[in-house]
Amino acid sequence: MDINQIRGILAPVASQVDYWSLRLVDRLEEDSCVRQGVFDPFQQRFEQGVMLTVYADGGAAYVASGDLSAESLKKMFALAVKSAKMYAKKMVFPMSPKIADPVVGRYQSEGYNKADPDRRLIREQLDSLAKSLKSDHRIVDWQAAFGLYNEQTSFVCSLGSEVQQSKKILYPRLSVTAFDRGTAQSRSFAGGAWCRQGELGDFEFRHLQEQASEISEEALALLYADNCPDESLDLLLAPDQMVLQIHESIGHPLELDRILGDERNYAGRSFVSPDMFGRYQYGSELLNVVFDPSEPGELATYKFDDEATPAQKTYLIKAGILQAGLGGRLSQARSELPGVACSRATNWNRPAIDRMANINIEAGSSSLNEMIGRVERGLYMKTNTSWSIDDSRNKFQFGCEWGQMIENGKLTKLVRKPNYRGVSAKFWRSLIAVGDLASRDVLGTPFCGKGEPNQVIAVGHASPACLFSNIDVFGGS
Amino acid sequence: MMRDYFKDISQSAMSVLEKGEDLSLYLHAEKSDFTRLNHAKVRQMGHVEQIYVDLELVIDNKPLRRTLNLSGDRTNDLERIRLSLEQLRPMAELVEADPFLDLGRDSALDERQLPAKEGDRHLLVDQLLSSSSDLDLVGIVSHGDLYRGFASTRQQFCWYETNNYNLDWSIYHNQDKAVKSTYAGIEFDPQWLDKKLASDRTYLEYLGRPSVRLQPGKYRCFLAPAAISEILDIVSWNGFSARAQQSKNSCFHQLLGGEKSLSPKVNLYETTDLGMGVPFNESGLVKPKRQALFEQGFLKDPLVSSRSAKQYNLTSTAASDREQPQGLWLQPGILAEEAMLTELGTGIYIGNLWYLNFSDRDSCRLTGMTRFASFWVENGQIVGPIEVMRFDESFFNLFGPQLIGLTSKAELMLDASTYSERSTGGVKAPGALIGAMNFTL
Repeated sequence: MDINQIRGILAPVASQVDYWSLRLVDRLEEDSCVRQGVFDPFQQRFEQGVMLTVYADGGAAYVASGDLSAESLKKMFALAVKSAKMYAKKMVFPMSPKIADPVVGRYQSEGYNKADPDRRLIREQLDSLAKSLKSDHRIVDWQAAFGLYNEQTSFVCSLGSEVQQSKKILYPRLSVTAFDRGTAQSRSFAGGAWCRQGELGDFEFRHLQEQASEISEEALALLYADNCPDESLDLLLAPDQMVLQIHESIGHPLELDRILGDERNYAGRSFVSPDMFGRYQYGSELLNVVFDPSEPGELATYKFDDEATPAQKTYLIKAGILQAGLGGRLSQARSELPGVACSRATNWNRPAIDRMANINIEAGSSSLNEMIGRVERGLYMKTNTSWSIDDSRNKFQFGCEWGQMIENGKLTKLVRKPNYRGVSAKFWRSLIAVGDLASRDVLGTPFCGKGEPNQVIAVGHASPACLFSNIDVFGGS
Repeated sequence: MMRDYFKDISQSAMSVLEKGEDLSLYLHAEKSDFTRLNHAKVRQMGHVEQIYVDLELVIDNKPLRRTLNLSGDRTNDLERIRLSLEQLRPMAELVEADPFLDLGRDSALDERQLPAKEGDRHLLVDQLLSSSSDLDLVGIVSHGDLYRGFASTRQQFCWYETNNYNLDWSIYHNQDKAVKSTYAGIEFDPQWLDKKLASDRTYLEYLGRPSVRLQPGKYRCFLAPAAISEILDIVSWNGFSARAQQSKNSCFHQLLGGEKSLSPKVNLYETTDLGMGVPFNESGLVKPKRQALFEQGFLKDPLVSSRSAKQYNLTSTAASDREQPQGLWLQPGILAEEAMLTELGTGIYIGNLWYLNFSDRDSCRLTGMTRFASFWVENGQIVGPIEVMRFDESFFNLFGPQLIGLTSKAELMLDASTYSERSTGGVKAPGALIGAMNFTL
């Protein structure tokens, strides 16, 4: 069914409402995995569905279905109108189409129209990667996997907007577990945070081969490392840990729907209050954070959010000062706070809410070696493995797979089970160096959970390595 | 009706198979109403109808899987399935025979049906809104039909169907001070809902008292059933999985072999007979009504999927592919609920825990936050709500030497999770009195 057909079906009934929009989603997903040398069952997911939203008399309601027939659309419309009108006087905020402007546009991820190479390529590479991972008899579990996801969304509304967006996502994963004398240690490729928009034909498997050998050796080395010490010291975080640090203690607290209270029953609230925008010292002067939907290849790059609001790069934090929140057009109207185009839905069967997209820390001027060189006693941590933060997104504790002491300006002995804890409101003010472009990586996660009903969505985080002073670190039991 | 539809399309799908092919279909579908609330008003409301079917086509012992969403129209959907089978067949050339495939040739026929009844979501929403109009209430009302079905060329057919509701809300006093409640089931009772809200109102009085800031250290604690549920949830990620135990990724690997154990007061079961969970898995195998996970503190047999059974030469327990429990029952103890504050004496009453994860998986050391109605108690009297605290403590300690006792009543908590689809799982657990629990931040 195309957009003109949809318009034709809804035209006779459109006058019953103040506004209607329709979002059509087509998704094709494929996952291949070789675990312990055996190919897991080949897995595909094909789905197509539609969400219809109406505003009527100040109320709003959505109806979603996998039935795309004309008859179904008419029934969906009637049900949505009935529900919207029934609760029009009980809405948190009167819903009006006046806050939206019509747009027409299209987005395709880079190389989207290229034909996919033969699937045998993935299979051969996974077999080879699995062999590299199983480097020793103490490797007791190993896994190489590859995900290929293709999503097309079309949005049309009664204001005249028409938006089509298409993207392909690549998601390679490697993990290995070593075991000896009662201790298990695991390493993975970027903690599962390497996932990008792109084309399989352009993907460099050679890089994965290097990673497979490296993480296998590292897991074995960690088996015999001392536990991470329990002390306060300088902490250097690699991009594959910065991903989580940004996500949990900058991204989530800046979501306007949290600040408005929508998430208090589930994902939580925020320590950030409306009066902080424009003046609050979120971090040191070195901290520059952007919402950047234009970063090529990053996981949540797009031109429009799921309510057809045009997206553009925006500073959330500039020179450490809080500038804007993460909220789409509705949250901006409700809160009267600056926001961005980030009203997004995970799929056809969930409504759009405020989500992170690409939330990035801008590169600084320090090389990785310079940052290590300035540390008298510190710890270098990479690859997230554990994450926990309070419901106001303030008190956190994160753990990494890999830790290495920094003593007198040099990387020294390995330590295992490294964790650190802190408070968001203080932590970012202890940022004392930001890595340069060479230390930066473009990462993300496909699994950010939030919302009622629950939604898991893909977000991107690009970051250089960053150095923090005087952080509490500790190890395992 | 959905059952007839599924029978029709599965039988029709089997009629288009080629010689030697094996096919199974696992249906997971729902018709759900979701009403999201904030400040005791409606934030978002909608209706979702979704039908997913997981196809597994096996050719020469090579399994090829595809999940499809369908429309509910038999003709269209059969065509989509037929096309999918056509597209899957060439994939068999990419893979070799699967050594861990178990087609479960033994017939497993089980038809269970909790009749779906026509419900009225407006009654639930209206009742909750009208009873809380003077409160800062936030949460969600989920309601509607849930369906699970399994059919295969091996003459298996399983069916599960219910119509239920789950009201999941919090009432805020101010800032992060709130009380959380849930009310879920099949028969909605407005009076029971009002009783729940009345109980919440009593907590609001305590939440209005000046908050207490605690220093890091060890504290005597009472963990309410909701907090126990969070702890059981995190260790269920991989703790009971046969695959995880065999590959040293289980947080319980130190308990394997039985040299180390928890308190003998710990008896934990996966159960399908308390209204939690679907009684069969994605492979059409019928789950035991009750499987011991801990008995007298000792770790019992793991949850074994068909695949792990073949790989590790174990007996399948009809566990799901992920080998995680769906319905958990922690056997109650002997402590009286009404005397809990007195039993606690001086310490922390923890209503809920939040965002748990591992500090050290090897030793099953957990971290997480207090949340919602958590109070400082002195001499059996509530002093005031605590400012949120982070704990960092081993599960082996909490449910080992530090476990003083479990309460005599277990609370049934149906899972309100709605990721992709409404959950059918849950936990039935008592509260626990803990001698000392470590708090760090």
